[in-house]
Amino acid sequence: MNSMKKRQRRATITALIFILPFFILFTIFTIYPVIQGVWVSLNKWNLMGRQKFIGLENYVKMFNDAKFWTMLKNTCFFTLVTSPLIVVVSLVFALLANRPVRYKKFLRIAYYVPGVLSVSVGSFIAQYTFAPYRGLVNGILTSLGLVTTATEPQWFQRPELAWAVVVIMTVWWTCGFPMLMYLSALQDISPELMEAASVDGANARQKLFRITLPLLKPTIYLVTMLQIIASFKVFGQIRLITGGGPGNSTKSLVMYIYEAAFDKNKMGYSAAMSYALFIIIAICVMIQMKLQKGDE
Amino acid sequence: MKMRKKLLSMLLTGAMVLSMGGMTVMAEEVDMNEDGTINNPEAVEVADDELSFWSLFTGGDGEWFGKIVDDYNATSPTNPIKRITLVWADYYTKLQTAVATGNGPDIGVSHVSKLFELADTGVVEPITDQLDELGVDLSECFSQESIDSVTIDGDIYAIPLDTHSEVMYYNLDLLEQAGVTEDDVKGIQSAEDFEAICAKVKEALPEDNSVISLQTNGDDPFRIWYAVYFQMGGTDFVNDGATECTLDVEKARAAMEWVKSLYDNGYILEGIDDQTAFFQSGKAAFCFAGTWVTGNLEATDGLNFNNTTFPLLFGDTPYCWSDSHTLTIPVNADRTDEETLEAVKFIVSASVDGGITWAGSGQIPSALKANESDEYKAMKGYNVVDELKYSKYAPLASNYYGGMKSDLITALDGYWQNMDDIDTASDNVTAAIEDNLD
Repeated sequence: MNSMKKRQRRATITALIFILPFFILFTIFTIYPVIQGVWVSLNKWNLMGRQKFIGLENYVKMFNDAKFWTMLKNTCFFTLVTSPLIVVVSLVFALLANRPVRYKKFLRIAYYVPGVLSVSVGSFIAQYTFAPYRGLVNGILTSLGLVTTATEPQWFQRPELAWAVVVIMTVWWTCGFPMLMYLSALQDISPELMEAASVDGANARQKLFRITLPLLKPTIYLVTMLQIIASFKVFGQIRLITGGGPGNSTKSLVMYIYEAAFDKNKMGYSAAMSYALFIIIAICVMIQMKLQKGDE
Repeated sequence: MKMRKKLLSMLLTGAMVLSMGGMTVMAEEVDMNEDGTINNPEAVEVADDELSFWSLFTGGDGEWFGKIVDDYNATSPTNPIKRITLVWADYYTKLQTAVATGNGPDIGVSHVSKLFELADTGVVEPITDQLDELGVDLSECFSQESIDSVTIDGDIYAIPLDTHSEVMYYNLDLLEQAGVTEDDVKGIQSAEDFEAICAKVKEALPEDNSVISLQTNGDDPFRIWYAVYFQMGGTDFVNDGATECTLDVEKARAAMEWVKSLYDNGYILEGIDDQTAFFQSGKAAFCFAGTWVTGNLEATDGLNFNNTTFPLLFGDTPYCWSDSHTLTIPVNADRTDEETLEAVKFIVSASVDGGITWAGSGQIPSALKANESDEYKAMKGYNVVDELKYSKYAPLASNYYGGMKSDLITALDGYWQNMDDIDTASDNVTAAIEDNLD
């Protein structure tokens, strides 16, 4: 008995020693900055000068800042549009790439490849594709005779079109990874189930809706949650493709936070807004997890 | 067996701890972009006797400034200069964060429009004492306006290098095609004169050409609005100390409406996303752009163009938007007093002796010596030397550069792009100033 306890204790110590290096780094580089961030959000600070404690003033300012709400609205809009799109499109891709066809491998690679590009490369491709007068899309439309120089769509001048470009780029660029998750889940579905269903006379549609999709549910939940989090944090592609324009119509909350911190040197205010975003995401995730639990 | 396992786990732990330590002492590698700009300037090795200079000059400008540094280093100074060029878009963010964490350079660049903020937040230090010690009399080297632009509360914070203004470029071939002469262009005395020429040129140009090459967003339409506002008699944006908005709302609105009329009258083709490139392609008769594009335009094959000062459109003084590059000494605890003195010596020499070299970039040199030389008079940049007299520099507000200016641009963009009507847009313009008071 005693020796077992001793052994257990040893195991714990060994485990601790293994965990310790990571834990120290995690504390220094993640936990401490998180706490420090709360402190910064209660101060007025321009990075260089002294921090001046102002209590909740930054948060009060945030509630009264019309721009904050505009950016939050933009971000919610982006999340509401792209998250379902990505969840569905990558599922369709996965189903397509999971069929026993000869070019299966090609499909998988083709769907996945955009995801390996960095956000800047992906954004530049989008920008060139939709550029007026010389871009691919307008070039094709013009050569088909659908538009002329005078009437061609100005993708970056109208808010709806600018959103369309950002959303298309995001879906194209992001779908690869969720597709892989779906694919691996699809491969976990036992072929015997499908055989049995076929023997019972189920058609392809019934098999999809009655067997495949219900079995994919946990993966769908996971993908949805990851997408919502990622969408709320959108920054790179919008900054690079539209710069938030026209006007402020496509500017995301994270862009606004970045500008407050690094263009305007308002570290406290930008920290306060970061925590607001953190709370919003945390609530979304909690709702999501509740729904999933209820479902199971 | 057990022994072995223990040994192994100890070794592994040891290796991890060692590698962690190793990571921190290992020198960071320099991360250089294709154009020679550096993403992690603090990692560049600078010899003990060298002074580090963080430059924001890229492309053609970079080459001209490189020559100034080479010429200076060739005189075998006590502390040679190590030039490190940063990505322009990141420059101020990196400079401010580097100085805040004690990794900043010995010498830096600042726009006059950013200088007040850098001085106010303690990023750069005054150099009045060093100038006295070196026996430099600035009034012999620069105009009083230039000296005033770098003086804050009686202290000199920088050495002016140049003035760069928003000027007018025109395509000689297209104007000839439309029957407009260079004298007509240089003789513009009012908005009506300019509009008459625009109308005439529009008649003569094919559909996919543009009378004026101008974007619907960003700095350039803002600078035109800025010039027009002051020509109309607009007041400064803020009071002394930048505690109050003193914008003349009526004039700001009138200037907005006039600039907008250029778009609405079809003088500007929709969707020009790079106005300099569009002008370079020879498809636009006019282009309002900074003096710094002169070099690029001159290097464009088959582009037959000339440049002149920003036209007089309203009132009787052809005010123009201008900014100025200045050389600064960022706060740096690692630098000795002797080195600071050497650094000041360099920035004075770079501006005064390097002025004529710098003029090659198309910017108007601040140094009188360069400004009045025959060599400069032979350059294309000399065509716009008068802008020195008509320059309207940025207001002295700590929140101007990243705050007020970028908010103003966003507010105006909304109007150019038909997102907001004139009432909303002019409210946004006022708010852009009020939100960024000190």
